[in-house]
Amino acid sequence: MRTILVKVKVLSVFVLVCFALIACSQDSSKKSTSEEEELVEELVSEELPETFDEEVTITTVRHVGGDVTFKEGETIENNVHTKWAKDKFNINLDYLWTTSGPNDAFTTKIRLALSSNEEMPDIIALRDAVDQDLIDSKKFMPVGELFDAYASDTWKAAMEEDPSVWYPYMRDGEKMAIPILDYAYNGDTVLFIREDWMKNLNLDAPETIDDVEKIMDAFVTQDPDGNGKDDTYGLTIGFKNALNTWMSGADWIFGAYGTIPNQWNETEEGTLENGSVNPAMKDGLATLKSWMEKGYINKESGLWDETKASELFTSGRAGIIAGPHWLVDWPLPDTKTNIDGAEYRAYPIPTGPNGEAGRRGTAINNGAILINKDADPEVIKAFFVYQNYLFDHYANPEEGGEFEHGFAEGYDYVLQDGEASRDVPGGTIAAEKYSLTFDVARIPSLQLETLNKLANGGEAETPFERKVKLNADVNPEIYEAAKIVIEQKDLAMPNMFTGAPTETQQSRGQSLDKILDEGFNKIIYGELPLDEFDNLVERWKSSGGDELTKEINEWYDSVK
Amino acid sequence: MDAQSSTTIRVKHKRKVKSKWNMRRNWPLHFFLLPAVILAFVFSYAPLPGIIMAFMDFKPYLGFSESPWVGLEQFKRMIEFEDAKQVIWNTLIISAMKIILNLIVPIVFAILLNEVRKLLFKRTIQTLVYLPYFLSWVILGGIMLDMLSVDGGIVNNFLTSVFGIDPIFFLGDGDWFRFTAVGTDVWKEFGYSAIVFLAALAGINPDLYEAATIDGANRFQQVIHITLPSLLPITIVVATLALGNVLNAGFDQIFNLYNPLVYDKGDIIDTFVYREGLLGGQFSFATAVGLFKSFIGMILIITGYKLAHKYAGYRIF
Repeated sequence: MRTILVKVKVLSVFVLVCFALIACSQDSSKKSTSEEEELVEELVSEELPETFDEEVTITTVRHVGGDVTFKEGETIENNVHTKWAKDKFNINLDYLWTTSGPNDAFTTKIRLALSSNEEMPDIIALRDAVDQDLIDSKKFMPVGELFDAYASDTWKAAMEEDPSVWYPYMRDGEKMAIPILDYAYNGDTVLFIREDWMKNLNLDAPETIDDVEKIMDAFVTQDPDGNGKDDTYGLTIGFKNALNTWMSGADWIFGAYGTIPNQWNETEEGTLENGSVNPAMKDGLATLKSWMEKGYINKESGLWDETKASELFTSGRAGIIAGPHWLVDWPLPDTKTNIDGAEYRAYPIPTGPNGEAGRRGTAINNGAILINKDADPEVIKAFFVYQNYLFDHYANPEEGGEFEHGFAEGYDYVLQDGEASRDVPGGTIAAEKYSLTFDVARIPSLQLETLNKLANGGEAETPFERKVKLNADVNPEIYEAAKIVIEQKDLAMPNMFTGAPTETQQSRGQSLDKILDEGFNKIIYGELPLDEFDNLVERWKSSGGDELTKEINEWYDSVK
Repeated sequence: MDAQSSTTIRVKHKRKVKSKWNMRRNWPLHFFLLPAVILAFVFSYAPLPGIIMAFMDFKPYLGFSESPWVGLEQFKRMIEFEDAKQVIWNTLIISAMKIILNLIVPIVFAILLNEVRKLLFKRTIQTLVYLPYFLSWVILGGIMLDMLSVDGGIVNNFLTSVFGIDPIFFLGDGDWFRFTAVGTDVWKEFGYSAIVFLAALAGINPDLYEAATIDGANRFQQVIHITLPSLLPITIVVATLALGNVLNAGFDQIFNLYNPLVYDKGDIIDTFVYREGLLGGQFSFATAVGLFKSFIGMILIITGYKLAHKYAGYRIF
């Protein structure tokens, strides 16, 4: 008994110490909201300088992913770009800490920093779902007014291409983070069909789902590769993760009936609706089920993720794959390596029985920039000076300008007798990844519109157009693909819900998805009858789906 | 407790410690123990206070001090999930099959291998069978997908050509999925688990076999009456420790093999928590489930220990 008492004593001391350790790491120093407002007001009344007489240090943190490479002796803290910022504006880019390896490392580190109440850097640019936690931590300031006052016209114009980029970062009508823009239509679906098979079998370009069925039937039954074996499939899709996904997806099949699953679509009344419970799903599922029965798609499709499914195409066993225009850069070129004489071409996505068509759309925000509310006014100005310059001079560089040929000489290009070349000794290095916002500055529409212009016979006139052409000429199928993406841009249906997870989404989101995912896959495999769809939707609604829809629409009303 | 008696405790305790530890003579041994103690402290004991998360609605940006307390709310949520029963049931079935087979197969294999006379052959086999143990499920998941494919996978090709049966949809058919999960797990683990039993076999006194031979026992009778009883203690240890894992049906494996088609038969607690808790950043919920699992595991280990002591007269700890 006595020894037990001693043990209890020791244990309680131990627990107390541990609690004390946790408690000590918390402190509270919070600026009041009024102070914050004053600061913003004071700031926006000032002009931005071109450079700073006194050195300004921007502190930040970042994840150095596998795509960031360095010359020997350079690091993210000290490289051609940090030197450039110092020489150009007298700005120091100071990384308080960095993480490498898988992206989780950054997420974990940020979460730990949050829960131990560590001091946050001046600026955080991140591509990570933890941005919502950061915003809710109230350690960062509203940026709407700052952006309006300080951002350059180029940057503002880029941002106005789609005002919904701000939606994920809205809190009570305030913009709490600046979205990082990416190229538009970058994930929008087109079809790729084996052109040599089409020629072998004398098939015409498909316009409707029925046409696609005829082509698939021919691909399956008429031995398009002429190897004498019954080993080909019409289409390759992989729906282990979702029916609507970034490659080898089935979004366009459902789009032909008027819905896109696994996302929130806008209805005619202007409300948001889960695309997976739209009655049109039933037609799409019936179509997929019949394709599975007829052997147009592989029986393993439900076990495959996106990449695994694409292998059926690249190994020369499937004739159709759906995905973004850049599939011609990866992974489709493998098809040519694996099969002699393989050709493929981009085709528009087909229409359904009512002439409808739809594809998944792409959000153009790819990350966010947060500004610490305790940041020094000079630091905030410095950030805008820096980012404005890059939007004005790099995003669509002027002739003869600093970034005419690329981001940094000796990294992504070299000058030989006045000509820019990619033959950098030791290989090119993507120095633009060193910038604070990952890809420097992107104007969303520019990339695809340029490809579209070039595809329609336009000349490459500006430095940006020449750069795009240089890259696109490697796999010229991309021109047609990009052209189709632009031509069909009205069909794009992006996910309209971009906010932080709602309450029901957090507590029941996964089980709700599970009801539908499991049910849909079983319907496609014929393990459940098609009419079970209605029951699934009922179950989804009663298990919290109705509640979820209400929350999502409350969010939508609050931001739009 | 009055002051006097607490002093007595301290004195008594001190004396006892001194005689038991004998620091002056044994300090090098204790020194060697130090790294293990430190590691265990840092990674197993220091994080323990984090368990309070299970009783909070923990938000990283609020921290421990400001996250609201919710009592047993997280546990209630876990039980109230409509899938909870299904998921726990799946976990129990899969892990019970794994525990049983991961005990029987290595023992049988170890006994068979022990009978092999050619040393080179024995060593080669042993190396080959424990090779899969070192592969991760991320890699094996991809390999299994191809090997078990209904469209030209080698397993189905073999079954079709030898037995003439239709290809089996191992990873897409719920009932088959459980067997596939257990089968591949046993294949991966048995070589490694057998090492313990081989070591135990090497430790059996040869005199026993000699005496048995003289008494006219054949090989089979020797196995039944000498080998198996000698393996009993170690088998009990392994089985008791395995019991603690009865709610771990193998996250790595299931996560890499499953898909929505087999959710109803293959979704286990860990994959469920991964989707529900970690993808959504719900640390409290995940912690609550973890705590629940540890609690059940502890009860089972204690029960196993008591049973082993009562019926086999064997103490593990």
